[in-house]
Amino acid sequence: MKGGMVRGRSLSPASSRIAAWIAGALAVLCLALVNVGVYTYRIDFYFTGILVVVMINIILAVSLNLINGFTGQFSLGHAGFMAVGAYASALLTIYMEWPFPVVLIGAGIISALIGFLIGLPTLRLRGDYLAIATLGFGEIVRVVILNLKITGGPRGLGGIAPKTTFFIAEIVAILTVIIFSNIVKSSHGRAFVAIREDEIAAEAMGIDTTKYKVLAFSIGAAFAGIAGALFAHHQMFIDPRSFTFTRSIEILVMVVLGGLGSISGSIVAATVLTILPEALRGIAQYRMIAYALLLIGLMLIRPQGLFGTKEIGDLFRLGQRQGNEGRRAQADGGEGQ
Amino acid sequence: MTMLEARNLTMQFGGLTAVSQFNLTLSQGDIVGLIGPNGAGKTTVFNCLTGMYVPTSGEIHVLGKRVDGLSPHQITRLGMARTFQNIRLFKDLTVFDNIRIAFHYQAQYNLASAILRLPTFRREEQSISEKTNALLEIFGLYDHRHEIASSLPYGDQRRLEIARALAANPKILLLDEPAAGMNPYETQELTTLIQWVKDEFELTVFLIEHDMRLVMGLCQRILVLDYGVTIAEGTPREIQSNAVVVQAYLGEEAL
Repeated sequence: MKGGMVRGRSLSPASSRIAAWIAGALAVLCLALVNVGVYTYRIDFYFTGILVVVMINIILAVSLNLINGFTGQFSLGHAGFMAVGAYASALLTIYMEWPFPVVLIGAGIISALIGFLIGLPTLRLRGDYLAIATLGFGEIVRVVILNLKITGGPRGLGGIAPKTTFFIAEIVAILTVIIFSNIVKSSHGRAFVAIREDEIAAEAMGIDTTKYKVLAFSIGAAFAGIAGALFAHHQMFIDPRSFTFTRSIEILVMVVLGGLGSISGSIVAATVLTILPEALRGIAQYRMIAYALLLIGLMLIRPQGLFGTKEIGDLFRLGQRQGNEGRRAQADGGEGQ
Repeated sequence: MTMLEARNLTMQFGGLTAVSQFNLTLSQGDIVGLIGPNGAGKTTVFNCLTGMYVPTSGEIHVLGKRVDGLSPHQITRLGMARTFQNIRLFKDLTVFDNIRIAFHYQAQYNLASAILRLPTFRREEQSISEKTNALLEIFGLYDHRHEIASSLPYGDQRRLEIARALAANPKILLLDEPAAGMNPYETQELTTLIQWVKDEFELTVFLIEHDMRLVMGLCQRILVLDYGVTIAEGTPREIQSNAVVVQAYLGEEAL
Protein backbone atom coordinates (compact mmCIF):
# COMPACT_ATOMS: atom_id res chain seq x y z
CA MET A 1 0.00 0.00 0.00
CA LYS A 2 1.74 3.13 -1.15
CA GLY A 3 0.78 6.48 0.32
CA GLY A 4 -2.48 5.23 1.72
CA MET A 5 -4.54 7.81 -0.13
CA VAL A 6 -7.61 6.75 -2.02
CA ARG A 7 -8.33 8.73 -5.15
CA GLY A 8 -11.55 8.68 -7.07
CA ARG A 9 -13.97 5.87 -6.53
CA SER A 10 -12.47 2.70 -5.31
CA LEU A 11 -14.28 0.11 -3.37
CA SER A 12 -13.83 -3.43 -2.26
CA PRO A 13 -15.45 -5.97 -4.58
CA ALA A 14 -17.05 -7.55 -1.52
CA SER A 15 -19.25 -4.53 -0.82
CA SER A 16 -20.03 -4.09 -4.54
CA ARG A 17 -21.23 -7.67 -4.58
CA ILE A 18 -23.49 -6.93 -1.61
CA ALA A 19 -24.84 -3.89 -3.47
CA ALA A 20 -25.58 -6.04 -6.52
CA TRP A 21 -27.38 -8.53 -4.27
CA ILE A 22 -29.52 -5.76 -2.75
CA ALA A 23 -30.43 -4.47 -6.21
CA GLY A 24 -31.23 -7.98 -7.38
CA ALA A 25 -33.37 -8.67 -4.31
CA LEU A 26 -35.35 -5.46 -4.86
CA ALA A 27 -35.97 -6.36 -8.49
CA VAL A 28 -37.13 -9.86 -7.52
CA LEU A 29 -39.45 -8.36 -4.87
CA CYS A 30 -41.05 -5.96 -7.38
CA LEU A 31 -41.52 -8.75 -9.87
CA ALA A 32 -42.99 -11.06 -7.19
CA LEU A 33 -45.54 -8.40 -6.20
CA VAL A 34 -46.55 -7.93 -9.84
CA ASN A 35 -46.91 -11.69 -10.22
CA VAL A 36 -49.08 -11.97 -7.13
CA GLY A 37 -51.19 -9.11 -8.50
CA VAL A 38 -51.61 -10.79 -11.87
CA TYR A 39 -52.43 -14.25 -10.56
CA THR A 40 -54.86 -13.08 -7.89
CA TYR A 41 -56.55 -10.87 -10.51
CA ARG A 42 -55.87 -7.74 -8.46
CA ILE A 43 -54.29 -6.43 -11.66
CA ASP A 44 -57.03 -6.40 -14.29
CA PHE A 45 -56.88 -8.01 -17.70
CA TYR A 46 -56.22 -4.70 -19.44
CA PHE A 47 -53.26 -3.79 -17.27
CA THR A 48 -51.85 -7.31 -17.52
CA GLY A 49 -51.80 -6.71 -21.28
CA ILE A 50 -49.76 -3.58 -20.71
CA LEU A 51 -47.36 -5.54 -18.52
CA VAL A 52 -46.84 -8.00 -21.37
CA VAL A 53 -45.94 -5.06 -23.59
CA VAL A 54 -43.55 -3.86 -20.86
CA MET A 55 -41.77 -7.22 -21.01
CA ILE A 56 -41.61 -7.11 -24.81
CA ASN A 57 -40.20 -3.58 -24.70
CA ILE A 58 -37.61 -4.59 -22.12
CA ILE A 59 -36.37 -7.29 -24.51
CA LEU A 60 -36.30 -4.80 -27.39
CA ALA A 61 -34.51 -2.09 -25.42
CA VAL A 62 -31.93 -4.41 -23.85
CA SER A 63 -31.14 -6.02 -27.21
CA LEU A 64 -30.82 -2.67 -28.99
CA ASN A 65 -28.60 -1.47 -26.16
CA LEU A 66 -26.06 -4.15 -27.00
CA ILE A 67 -25.76 -2.70 -30.51
CA ASN A 68 -26.14 1.03 -29.85
CA GLY A 69 -25.04 1.33 -26.25
CA PHE A 70 -22.33 -1.23 -25.63
CA THR A 71 -20.87 -1.61 -29.12
CA GLY A 72 -21.57 2.00 -30.15
CA GLN A 73 -22.99 1.12 -33.57
CA PHE A 74 -25.92 3.41 -34.22
CA SER A 75 -28.70 1.19 -35.56
CA LEU A 76 -32.18 2.39 -36.46
CA GLY A 77 -33.36 -0.94 -37.83
CA HIS A 78 -34.70 -2.65 -34.74
CA ALA A 79 -38.35 -2.52 -35.84
CA GLY A 80 -37.25 -4.33 -39.00
CA PHE A 81 -35.81 -7.25 -37.03
CA MET A 82 -38.88 -7.22 -34.80
CA ALA A 83 -41.07 -7.45 -37.92
CA VAL A 84 -39.03 -10.37 -39.28
CA GLY A 85 -39.50 -12.23 -35.99
CA ALA A 86 -43.19 -11.35 -35.73
CA TYR A 87 -44.08 -12.51 -39.23
CA ALA A 88 -41.79 -15.54 -39.17
CA SER A 89 -43.27 -16.71 -35.87
CA ALA A 90 -46.86 -16.04 -36.94
CA LEU A 91 -46.34 -18.08 -40.11
CA LEU A 92 -44.67 -20.89 -38.16
CA THR A 93 -47.61 -21.01 -35.75
CA ILE A 94 -50.28 -20.80 -38.45
CA TYR A 95 -48.81 -23.14 -41.06
CA MET A 96 -46.45 -25.41 -39.16
CA GLU A 97 -48.27 -25.46 -35.83
CA TRP A 98 -45.00 -25.74 -33.95
CA PRO A 99 -45.04 -25.45 -30.16
CA PHE A 100 -44.58 -21.87 -28.99
CA PRO A 101 -41.09 -22.18 -27.40
CA VAL A 102 -39.78 -23.66 -30.66
CA VAL A 103 -41.49 -20.88 -32.61
CA LEU A 104 -39.77 -18.30 -30.39
CA ILE A 105 -36.37 -19.86 -30.94
CA GLY A 106 -37.07 -20.18 -34.67
CA ALA A 107 -38.01 -16.49 -34.88
CA GLY A 108 -34.79 -15.63 -33.05
CA ILE A 109 -32.64 -17.69 -35.40
CA ILE A 110 -34.26 -16.27 -38.54
CA SER A 111 -33.84 -12.70 -37.31
CA ALA A 112 -30.25 -13.40 -36.29
CA LEU A 113 -29.50 -14.69 -39.79
CA ILE A 114 -31.01 -11.57 -41.35
CA GLY A 115 -29.06 -9.48 -38.84
CA PHE A 116 -25.87 -11.25 -39.83
CA LEU A 117 -26.51 -10.73 -43.56
CA ILE A 118 -27.40 -7.06 -43.08
CA GLY A 119 -24.58 -6.46 -40.60
CA LEU A 120 -21.79 -7.81 -42.75
CA PRO A 121 -21.91 -5.05 -45.39
CA THR A 122 -23.47 -2.18 -43.40
CA LEU A 123 -21.20 -2.34 -40.35
CA ARG A 124 -18.37 -1.06 -42.52
CA LEU A 125 -20.19 2.24 -42.28
CA ARG A 126 -19.83 4.48 -39.28
CA GLY A 127 -22.09 6.81 -37.33
CA ASP A 128 -24.68 8.64 -39.41
CA TYR A 129 -24.09 6.45 -42.45
CA LEU A 130 -24.79 3.27 -40.51
CA ALA A 131 -27.93 4.88 -39.07
CA ILE A 132 -29.20 5.67 -42.56
CA ALA A 133 -28.36 2.19 -43.88
CA THR A 134 -30.17 0.44 -41.02
CA LEU A 135 -33.08 2.84 -41.40
CA GLY A 136 -33.23 1.78 -45.05
CA PHE A 137 -33.15 -1.87 -44.01
CA GLY A 138 -36.16 -1.37 -41.72
CA GLU A 139 -38.12 0.26 -44.52
CA ILE A 140 -37.19 -2.51 -46.97
CA VAL A 141 -38.50 -5.13 -44.56
CA ARG A 142 -41.76 -3.21 -44.22
CA VAL A 143 -42.17 -2.77 -47.96
CA VAL A 144 -41.41 -6.43 -48.63
CA ILE A 145 -44.03 -7.49 -46.08
CA LEU A 146 -46.47 -5.04 -47.60
CA ASN A 147 -46.11 -6.67 -51.01
CA LEU A 148 -45.90 -10.37 -50.21
CA LYS A 149 -48.95 -12.57 -50.47
CA ILE A 150 -48.09 -14.87 -47.58
CA THR A 151 -47.87 -11.96 -45.12
CA GLY A 152 -51.29 -10.67 -46.08
CA GLY A 153 -49.81 -7.45 -47.46
CA PRO A 154 -51.38 -4.25 -46.14
CA ARG A 155 -54.38 -6.16 -44.76
CA GLY A 156 -52.12 -7.79 -42.22
CA LEU A 157 -51.98 -11.25 -40.78
CA GLY A 158 -54.73 -12.31 -38.37
CA GLY A 159 -55.80 -15.40 -36.49
CA ILE A 160 -52.52 -15.84 -34.62
CA ALA A 161 -53.09 -17.96 -31.52
CA PRO A 162 -52.79 -15.87 -28.32
CA LYS A 163 -49.88 -17.78 -26.90
CA THR A 164 -48.02 -14.95 -25.20
CA THR A 165 -49.13 -15.12 -21.60
CA PHE A 166 -47.75 -12.78 -18.98
CA PHE A 167 -45.82 -15.71 -17.57
CA ILE A 168 -44.08 -16.52 -20.86
CA ALA A 169 -43.30 -12.88 -21.61
CA GLU A 170 -41.88 -12.48 -18.14
CA ILE A 171 -39.69 -15.59 -18.38
CA VAL A 172 -38.31 -14.59 -21.76
CA ALA A 173 -37.60 -11.05 -20.52
CA ILE A 174 -35.78 -12.37 -17.44
CA LEU A 175 -33.75 -14.79 -19.55
CA THR A 176 -32.89 -11.96 -21.95
CA VAL A 177 -31.66 -9.75 -19.11
CA ILE A 178 -29.58 -12.58 -17.64
CA ILE A 179 -28.08 -13.49 -21.00
CA PHE A 180 -27.19 -9.91 -21.88
CA SER A 181 -25.78 -9.14 -18.41
CA ASN A 182 -23.60 -12.23 -18.62
CA ILE A 183 -22.43 -11.32 -22.10
CA VAL A 184 -21.45 -7.77 -21.25
CA LYS A 185 -19.68 -8.88 -18.07
CA SER A 186 -17.33 -11.17 -19.96
CA SER A 187 -14.33 -10.82 -22.19
CA HIS A 188 -16.72 -10.74 -25.16
CA GLY A 189 -18.64 -7.89 -23.56
CA ARG A 190 -15.42 -5.99 -23.01
CA ALA A 191 -14.62 -6.45 -26.70
CA PHE A 192 -17.93 -4.74 -27.56
CA VAL A 193 -17.20 -1.86 -25.21
CA ALA A 194 -13.64 -1.54 -26.53
CA ILE A 195 -15.05 -1.06 -30.03
CA ARG A 196 -17.33 1.70 -28.76
CA GLU A 197 -14.50 3.42 -26.93
CA ASP A 198 -11.87 3.29 -29.66
CA GLU A 199 -12.11 1.00 -32.63
CA ILE A 200 -8.51 1.43 -33.73
CA ALA A 201 -7.14 0.72 -30.26
CA ALA A 202 -9.48 -2.28 -29.94
CA GLU A 203 -8.15 -3.67 -33.21
CA ALA A 204 -4.56 -3.04 -32.04
CA MET A 205 -5.30 -5.03 -28.88
CA GLY A 206 -6.14 -8.10 -30.95
CA ILE A 207 -9.91 -7.71 -31.06
CA ASP A 208 -11.51 -8.73 -34.35
CA THR A 209 -13.69 -5.63 -34.57
CA THR A 210 -15.61 -6.72 -37.68
CA LYS A 211 -16.51 -10.04 -36.08
CA TYR A 212 -17.66 -8.44 -32.87
CA LYS A 213 -19.70 -5.74 -34.57
CA VAL A 214 -21.51 -8.36 -36.64
CA LEU A 215 -21.90 -10.52 -33.54
CA ALA A 216 -23.52 -7.68 -31.56
CA PHE A 217 -25.79 -6.97 -34.51
CA SER A 218 -26.83 -10.63 -34.86
CA ILE A 219 -27.48 -11.16 -31.14
CA GLY A 220 -29.44 -7.90 -30.98
CA ALA A 221 -31.45 -8.92 -34.05
CA ALA A 222 -32.15 -12.37 -32.61
CA PHE A 223 -33.75 -10.95 -29.50
CA ALA A 224 -35.63 -8.29 -31.43
CA GLY A 225 -37.04 -11.19 -33.43
CA ILE A 226 -38.06 -13.03 -30.27
CA ALA A 227 -39.71 -9.85 -28.99
CA GLY A 228 -41.52 -9.60 -32.32
CA ALA A 229 -42.75 -13.17 -31.94
CA LEU A 230 -44.07 -12.44 -28.44
CA PHE A 231 -45.72 -9.30 -29.82
CA ALA A 232 -47.43 -11.18 -32.67
CA HIS A 233 -48.83 -13.83 -30.31
CA HIS A 234 -49.98 -11.16 -27.91
CA GLN A 235 -51.76 -8.94 -30.43
CA MET A 236 -53.06 -11.94 -32.43
CA PHE A 237 -52.98 -9.66 -35.45
CA ILE A 238 -50.01 -7.96 -37.11
CA ASP A 239 -49.74 -5.59 -40.02
CA PRO A 240 -46.85 -3.58 -41.48
CA ARG A 241 -47.99 -0.45 -39.62
CA SER A 242 -46.83 -2.00 -36.34
CA PHE A 243 -43.24 -1.99 -37.54
CA THR A 244 -42.63 1.47 -38.94
CA PHE A 245 -39.66 3.71 -38.38
CA THR A 246 -41.55 5.21 -35.40
CA ARG A 247 -41.26 1.89 -33.60
CA SER A 248 -37.46 1.88 -34.03
CA ILE A 249 -37.38 5.40 -32.63
CA GLU A 250 -39.50 4.38 -29.64
CA ILE A 251 -37.03 1.62 -28.78
CA LEU A 252 -34.11 3.96 -29.33
CA VAL A 253 -35.67 6.52 -26.96
CA MET A 254 -35.86 3.85 -24.26
CA VAL A 255 -32.21 2.96 -24.72
CA VAL A 256 -31.00 6.56 -24.74
CA LEU A 257 -33.19 7.57 -21.84
CA GLY A 258 -32.08 4.64 -19.73
CA GLY A 259 -28.45 5.17 -20.61
CA LEU A 260 -26.43 3.87 -23.55
CA GLY A 261 -24.50 0.98 -22.06
CA SER A 262 -26.71 0.28 -19.03
CA ILE A 263 -28.95 -2.77 -18.97
CA SER A 264 -30.66 -1.61 -15.77
CA GLY A 265 -31.31 1.71 -17.46
CA SER A 266 -32.98 0.01 -20.44
CA ILE A 267 -35.22 -2.01 -18.13
CA VAL A 268 -36.31 1.02 -16.12
CA ALA A 269 -36.80 3.21 -19.20
CA ALA A 270 -38.75 0.52 -21.08
CA THR A 271 -41.03 0.03 -18.08
CA VAL A 272 -41.61 3.73 -17.42
CA LEU A 273 -42.09 4.70 -21.07
CA THR A 274 -44.59 1.87 -21.65
CA ILE A 275 -46.68 2.56 -18.57
CA LEU A 276 -46.44 6.34 -18.69
CA PRO A 277 -48.73 6.97 -21.69
CA GLU A 278 -51.33 4.79 -19.97
CA ALA A 279 -50.91 6.56 -16.64
CA LEU A 280 -51.31 9.88 -18.40
CA ARG A 281 -54.63 8.89 -19.96
CA GLY A 282 -56.35 11.03 -17.32
CA ILE A 283 -55.22 14.20 -19.08
CA ALA A 284 -56.43 12.83 -22.41
CA GLN A 285 -55.31 14.94 -25.36
CA TYR A 286 -52.38 16.51 -23.52
CA ARG A 287 -50.70 13.24 -22.68
CA MET A 288 -48.39 13.10 -25.67
CA ILE A 289 -47.31 16.69 -24.94
CA ALA A 290 -46.60 15.77 -21.34
CA TYR A 291 -44.68 12.70 -22.55
CA ALA A 292 -42.60 14.77 -24.94
CA LEU A 293 -41.89 17.45 -22.34
CA LEU A 294 -40.77 14.79 -19.91
CA LEU A 295 -38.34 13.38 -22.46
CA ILE A 296 -36.91 16.80 -23.29
CA GLY A 297 -36.61 17.64 -19.61
CA LEU A 298 -34.81 14.42 -18.79
CA MET A 299 -32.39 14.82 -21.66
CA LEU A 300 -31.57 18.36 -20.51
CA ILE A 301 -30.96 17.28 -16.92
CA ARG A 302 -29.26 13.97 -17.66
CA PRO A 303 -27.97 13.84 -21.23
CA GLN A 304 -26.16 10.57 -20.47
CA GLY A 305 -29.51 8.91 -19.64
CA LEU A 306 -30.91 7.87 -16.28
CA PHE A 307 -28.11 5.43 -15.54
CA GLY A 308 -25.29 6.53 -17.84
CA THR A 309 -23.18 3.43 -18.34
CA LYS A 310 -23.76 2.30 -14.74
CA GLU A 311 -25.90 -0.57 -13.52
CA ILE A 312 -28.21 -0.60 -10.51
CA GLY A 313 -25.55 -2.32 -8.41
CA ASP A 314 -23.08 0.53 -9.10
CA LEU A 315 -25.54 3.17 -7.88
CA PHE A 316 -25.63 1.64 -4.44
CA ARG A 317 -21.89 2.19 -4.17
CA LEU A 318 -21.97 5.95 -4.54
CA GLY A 319 -22.34 6.52 -0.81
CA GLN A 320 -19.15 4.69 0.06
CA ARG A 321 -16.49 5.92 -2.30
CA GLN A 322 -13.85 6.31 0.37
CA GLY A 323 -12.13 3.81 2.57
CA ASN A 324 -11.66 0.10 2.37
CA GLU A 325 -8.08 0.67 1.37
CA GLY A 326 -6.78 -2.06 3.63
CA ARG A 327 -9.18 -4.69 2.50
CA ARG A 328 -8.74 -4.17 -1.20
CA ALA A 329 -5.62 -6.20 -1.63
CA GLN A 330 -7.02 -9.55 -0.55
CA ALA A 331 -10.44 -9.15 -2.05
CA ASP A 332 -9.38 -8.69 -5.63
CA GLY A 333 -9.71 -12.03 -7.33
CA GLY A 334 -13.46 -11.96 -7.69
CA GLU A 335 -13.64 -8.86 -9.85
CA GLY A 336 -14.25 -10.81 -13.02
CA GLN A 337 -17.54 -12.19 -11.84
CA MET B 1 16.33 -15.20 -34.61
CA THR B 2 14.71 -12.61 -36.83
CA MET B 3 11.64 -11.23 -35.10
CA LEU B 4 10.53 -8.51 -37.48
CA GLU B 5 11.64 -7.85 -40.99
CA ALA B 6 10.58 -5.26 -43.54
CA ARG B 7 11.82 -5.48 -47.12
CA ASN B 8 11.61 -2.55 -49.51
CA LEU B 9 8.55 -1.22 -47.74
CA THR B 10 6.93 1.59 -49.71
CA MET B 11 3.78 3.48 -48.86
CA GLN B 12 2.19 5.94 -51.23
CA PHE B 13 -0.85 8.11 -50.64
CA GLY B 14 -1.95 9.13 -54.11
CA GLY B 15 1.07 10.91 -55.56
CA LEU B 16 2.82 11.32 -52.22
CA THR B 17 5.42 8.75 -51.26
CA ALA B 18 5.35 8.76 -47.46
CA VAL B 19 7.80 5.91 -47.04
CA SER B 20 10.17 4.68 -49.69
CA GLN B 21 12.15 1.42 -49.80
CA PHE B 22 12.26 1.01 -46.03
CA ASN B 23 14.28 -1.95 -44.75
CA LEU B 24 14.44 -3.23 -41.21
CA THR B 25 15.62 -6.38 -39.48
CA LEU B 26 15.05 -6.88 -35.78
CA SER B 27 16.59 -9.82 -33.98
CA GLN B 28 15.51 -11.26 -30.66
CA GLY B 29 16.31 -8.80 -27.88
CA ASP B 30 17.09 -5.84 -30.14
CA ILE B 31 16.11 -2.37 -29.14
CA VAL B 32 16.09 -0.12 -32.18
CA GLY B 33 15.06 3.51 -32.54
CA LEU B 34 13.50 5.29 -35.49
CA ILE B 35 14.08 9.02 -35.58
CA GLY B 36 13.57 11.80 -38.06
CA PRO B 37 12.04 15.26 -38.41
CA ASN B 38 8.28 15.78 -38.22
CA GLY B 39 6.50 14.37 -41.23
CA ALA B 40 9.40 12.08 -42.13
CA GLY B 41 7.08 9.07 -42.26
CA LYS B 42 7.93 7.40 -38.95
CA THR B 43 4.37 6.77 -37.84
CA THR B 44 3.51 5.63 -41.36
CA VAL B 45 6.18 2.93 -41.00
CA PHE B 46 4.54 1.88 -37.72
CA ASN B 47 1.09 1.84 -39.29
CA CYS B 48 2.33 -0.35 -42.12
CA LEU B 49 4.09 -2.76 -39.76
CA THR B 50 1.02 -3.15 -37.57
CA GLY B 51 -1.44 -3.57 -40.41
CA MET B 52 -3.21 -0.22 -40.03
CA TYR B 53 -2.10 0.56 -43.58
CA VAL B 54 -1.58 -1.93 -46.36
CA PRO B 55 1.79 -1.00 -47.89
CA THR B 56 1.88 -0.10 -51.58
CA SER B 57 4.77 -2.50 -52.09
CA GLY B 58 7.29 -4.47 -50.11
CA GLU B 59 7.05 -7.30 -47.64
CA ILE B 60 6.71 -7.50 -43.87
CA HIS B 61 7.49 -10.62 -41.87
CA VAL B 62 6.69 -11.12 -38.20
CA LEU B 63 8.35 -14.15 -36.65
CA GLY B 64 8.90 -15.55 -40.10
CA LYS B 65 5.30 -15.14 -41.17
CA ARG B 66 4.35 -12.73 -43.92
CA VAL B 67 1.88 -10.20 -42.50
CA ASP B 68 1.39 -7.39 -45.03
CA GLY B 69 -2.29 -7.45 -45.94
CA LEU B 70 -3.35 -8.97 -42.62
CA SER B 71 -5.57 -6.93 -40.34
CA PRO B 72 -4.13 -5.30 -37.21
CA HIS B 73 -5.78 -7.74 -34.80
CA GLN B 74 -4.23 -10.71 -36.61
CA ILE B 75 -0.79 -9.13 -36.43
CA THR B 76 -1.27 -8.39 -32.72
CA ARG B 77 -2.18 -12.02 -32.15
CA LEU B 78 1.05 -13.11 -33.87
CA GLY B 79 2.97 -11.30 -31.14
CA MET B 80 3.41 -7.63 -31.99
CA ALA B 81 1.75 -4.91 -29.92
CA ARG B 82 2.03 -1.14 -30.14
CA THR B 83 1.29 2.14 -28.43
CA PHE B 84 0.10 5.28 -30.17
CA GLN B 85 1.66 8.70 -30.58
CA ASN B 86 -1.49 10.47 -29.39
CA ILE B 87 -2.42 7.96 -26.63
CA ARG B 88 -5.37 5.81 -27.52
CA LEU B 89 -6.58 4.54 -24.20
CA PHE B 90 -10.19 3.51 -23.64
CA LYS B 91 -10.66 6.89 -22.01
CA ASP B 92 -13.95 6.42 -20.19
CA LEU B 93 -13.12 3.00 -18.80
CA THR B 94 -11.21 2.25 -15.63
CA VAL B 95 -7.49 1.60 -15.60
CA PHE B 96 -8.29 -1.99 -14.66
CA ASP B 97 -10.62 -2.51 -17.62
CA ASN B 98 -8.15 -0.94 -20.04
CA ILE B 99 -5.71 -3.73 -19.23
CA ARG B 100 -8.34 -6.44 -19.02
CA ILE B 101 -9.53 -5.72 -22.55
CA ALA B 102 -6.08 -6.47 -23.91
CA PHE B 103 -6.28 -9.99 -22.50
CA HIS B 104 -9.31 -10.56 -24.71
CA TYR B 105 -7.81 -12.77 -27.37
CA GLN B 106 -6.07 -14.92 -24.80
CA ALA B 107 -9.32 -15.65 -22.93
CA GLN B 108 -10.07 -19.31 -23.50
CA TYR B 109 -13.84 -19.42 -23.31
CA ASN B 110 -16.62 -18.93 -25.80
CA LEU B 111 -19.82 -16.93 -25.64
CA ALA B 112 -21.87 -19.89 -24.40
CA SER B 113 -19.67 -20.46 -21.36
CA ALA B 114 -19.89 -16.74 -20.61
CA ILE B 115 -23.69 -16.81 -20.78
CA LEU B 116 -23.95 -20.00 -18.71
CA ARG B 117 -21.18 -18.89 -16.32
CA LEU B 118 -19.40 -22.22 -16.71
CA PRO B 119 -16.32 -23.08 -14.60
CA THR B 120 -14.04 -22.32 -17.57
CA PHE B 121 -15.41 -18.78 -17.58
CA ARG B 122 -14.78 -18.24 -13.87
CA ARG B 123 -11.31 -19.73 -14.05
CA GLU B 124 -10.29 -17.62 -17.04
CA GLU B 125 -11.74 -14.40 -15.61
CA GLN B 126 -9.96 -15.07 -12.34
CA SER B 127 -6.68 -15.54 -14.14
CA ILE B 128 -7.23 -12.40 -16.26
CA SER B 129 -7.87 -10.39 -13.08
CA GLU B 130 -4.71 -11.73 -11.48
CA LYS B 131 -2.56 -11.05 -14.52
CA THR B 132 -4.07 -7.57 -14.81
CA ASN B 133 -3.29 -6.77 -11.19
CA ALA B 134 0.24 -8.08 -11.60
CA LEU B 135 0.83 -5.76 -14.57
CA LEU B 136 -0.66 -2.82 -12.68
CA GLU B 137 1.69 -3.51 -9.78
CA ILE B 138 4.70 -3.52 -12.10
CA PHE B 139 3.71 -0.19 -13.60
CA GLY B 140 2.83 1.38 -10.26
CA LEU B 141 -0.77 1.88 -11.30
CA TYR B 142 -2.34 -0.56 -8.90
CA ASP B 143 -3.64 2.09 -6.52
CA HIS B 144 -5.33 3.87 -9.42
CA ARG B 145 -6.96 0.85 -10.93
CA HIS B 146 -10.55 1.89 -10.29
CA GLU B 147 -10.01 5.36 -11.70
CA ILE B 148 -11.14 6.41 -15.14
CA ALA B 149 -8.19 6.28 -17.55
CA SER B 150 -8.58 9.87 -18.77
CA SER B 151 -8.37 11.15 -15.18
CA LEU B 152 -4.79 9.92 -14.81
CA PRO B 153 -1.88 12.33 -15.11
CA TYR B 154 -0.32 12.36 -18.55
CA GLY B 155 2.75 10.33 -17.64
CA ASP B 156 0.60 7.64 -16.04
CA GLN B 157 -1.55 7.45 -19.17
CA ARG B 158 1.58 6.82 -21.24
CA ARG B 159 2.64 4.08 -18.86
CA LEU B 160 -0.85 2.58 -18.83
CA GLU B 161 -0.74 2.37 -22.61
CA ILE B 162 2.55 0.46 -22.48
CA ALA B 163 1.09 -1.84 -19.80
CA ARG B 164 -1.94 -2.43 -21.99
CA ALA B 165 0.26 -3.31 -24.96
CA LEU B 166 2.13 -5.81 -22.76
CA ALA B 167 -1.14 -7.42 -21.72
CA ALA B 168 -1.61 -8.41 -25.37
CA ASN B 169 1.36 -10.75 -24.77
CA PRO B 170 3.71 -9.43 -27.45
CA LYS B 171 7.17 -10.59 -28.37
CA ILE B 172 7.76 -7.39 -30.31
CA LEU B 173 6.77 -4.05 -28.81
CA LEU B 174 6.38 -0.94 -30.96
CA LEU B 175 6.40 2.35 -29.05
CA ASP B 176 5.35 5.50 -30.87
CA GLU B 177 6.93 8.44 -29.01
CA PRO B 178 6.61 6.98 -25.52
CA ALA B 179 8.22 10.02 -23.87
CA ALA B 180 6.18 12.67 -25.70
CA GLY B 181 5.01 15.31 -23.25
CA MET B 182 7.04 13.95 -20.34
CA ASN B 183 9.37 16.05 -18.22
CA PRO B 184 13.07 15.06 -17.98
CA TYR B 185 12.52 13.22 -14.71
CA GLU B 186 9.62 11.18 -16.11
CA THR B 187 11.62 10.47 -19.27
CA GLN B 188 14.49 9.15 -17.16
CA GLU B 189 12.08 6.89 -15.29
CA LEU B 190 10.54 5.72 -18.53
CA THR B 191 13.93 4.88 -20.01
CA THR B 192 14.65 2.64 -17.04
CA LEU B 193 11.19 1.12 -17.26
CA ILE B 194 11.47 0.27 -20.97
CA GLN B 195 14.86 -1.33 -20.44
CA TRP B 196 13.53 -3.32 -17.48
CA VAL B 197 10.35 -4.40 -19.26
CA LYS B 198 12.34 -5.46 -22.31
CA ASP B 199 14.55 -7.71 -20.19
CA GLU B 200 11.77 -9.00 -17.95
CA PHE B 201 9.37 -9.90 -20.77
CA GLU B 202 12.14 -10.85 -23.24
CA LEU B 203 10.92 -8.33 -25.77
CA THR B 204 12.24 -6.93 -28.97
CA VAL B 205 11.59 -3.20 -29.04
CA PHE B 206 11.22 -0.79 -31.94
CA LEU B 207 10.52 2.79 -30.98
CA ILE B 208 9.96 6.22 -32.44
CA GLU B 209 11.18 9.04 -30.27
CA HIS B 210 12.09 12.70 -30.42
CA ASP B 211 13.75 12.76 -27.03
CA MET B 212 17.41 12.22 -27.86
CA ARG B 213 18.40 11.36 -24.31
CA LEU B 214 15.97 8.43 -24.37
CA VAL B 215 16.96 7.26 -27.84
CA MET B 216 20.71 7.53 -27.27
CA GLY B 217 20.49 5.99 -23.81
CA LEU B 218 18.34 3.05 -24.80
CA CYS B 219 18.84 2.02 -28.41
CA GLN B 220 21.57 -0.23 -29.75
CA ARG B 221 20.82 0.84 -33.28
CA ILE B 222 19.10 3.85 -34.78
CA LEU B 223 17.49 4.42 -38.15
CA VAL B 224 17.03 7.94 -39.43
CA LEU B 225 14.17 8.76 -41.75
CA ASP B 226 13.85 11.95 -43.76
CA TYR B 227 11.11 12.51 -46.33
CA GLY B 228 10.35 8.80 -46.23
CA VAL B 229 13.91 7.80 -47.09
CA THR B 230 16.31 6.07 -44.70
CA ILE B 231 19.26 8.45 -44.66
CA ALA B 232 21.33 6.70 -42.03
CA GLU B 233 21.57 3.64 -39.86
CA GLY B 234 23.99 2.82 -37.09
CA THR B 235 24.86 2.94 -33.42
CA PRO B 236 23.95 6.06 -31.42
CA ARG B 237 27.56 7.20 -31.62
CA GLU B 238 27.69 6.83 -35.40
CA ILE B 239 24.37 8.62 -35.82
CA GLN B 240 25.46 11.51 -33.62
CA SER B 241 28.52 12.09 -35.74
CA ASN B 242 26.85 11.50 -39.10
CA ALA B 243 26.96 14.75 -41.06
CA VAL B 244 23.84 14.03 -43.13
CA VAL B 245 21.81 13.31 -40.04
CA VAL B 246 23.05 16.34 -38.22
CA GLN B 247 22.12 18.48 -41.15
CA ALA B 248 18.68 16.92 -41.59
CA TYR B 249 17.60 16.62 -38.05
CA LEU B 250 19.66 16.83 -34.95
CA GLY B 251 20.83 20.42 -35.20
CA GLU B 252 23.80 21.94 -33.45
CA GLU B 253 22.92 21.49 -29.79
CA ALA B 254 22.50 17.73 -29.91
CA LEU B 255 26.15 17.23 -30.56
